[in-house]
Amino acid sequence: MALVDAVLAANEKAVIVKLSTYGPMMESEALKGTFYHQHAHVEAHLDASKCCDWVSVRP
Amino acid sequence: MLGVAGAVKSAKVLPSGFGDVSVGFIDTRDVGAVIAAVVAASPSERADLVGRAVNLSGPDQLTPAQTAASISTALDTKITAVEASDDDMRRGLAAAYGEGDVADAIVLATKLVREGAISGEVSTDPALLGMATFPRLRSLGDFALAHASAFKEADAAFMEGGASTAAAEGSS
Repeated sequence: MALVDAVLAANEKAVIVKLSTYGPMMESEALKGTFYHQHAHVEAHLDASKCCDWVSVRP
Repeated sequence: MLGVAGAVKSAKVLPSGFGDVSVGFIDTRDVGAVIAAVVAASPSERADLVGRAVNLSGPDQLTPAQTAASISTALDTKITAVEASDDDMRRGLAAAYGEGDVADAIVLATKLVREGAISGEVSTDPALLGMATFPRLRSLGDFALAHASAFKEADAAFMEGGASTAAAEGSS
């Protein structure tokens, strides 16, 4: 998250492409608490910032 | 996939905890290529992607048996898929990635896919596919060939040829 904030602070026009794990794992309640769900927090943070273009790719 | 390459190489078996579920493995090189395409795209080209999380899948949805067959064909070596218990998978993954949360989470996710709690089949988002610069995705066979030394012992004939060549060079 600190890295995200640093990128945003450095360049408000930044395009961030975030690499995460694939969708069904992120959305599974059973996987809450594992690293899969940490990605969702970053996406929420990026979305709330509203200061850059971002895309989250979930392979 | 490389986490089980050792078993493929040493015992010619592909351990899997996915049961008969199909999974769309994607080559890590293609993940990088897709991300590069998104970064390099013009604002209009990526307009449909901004502010979204988009799924990216490999070109083929393969069961473990089909995965083993694909690797077999690519490496010209018979590989057989074998069902691995969660404990076996955890031990193997821990050996490859280290003990801890990653191995545990992968085992849990694999179990949930096997049991149908979450889908193993994910389609690539149409907005990604619609990009003019979306790359051609490599097959699992392409991946196996690129990592052949991890999956397969060096070919005996090649080794003999190489030894002969080295001997000839040494004698000249």
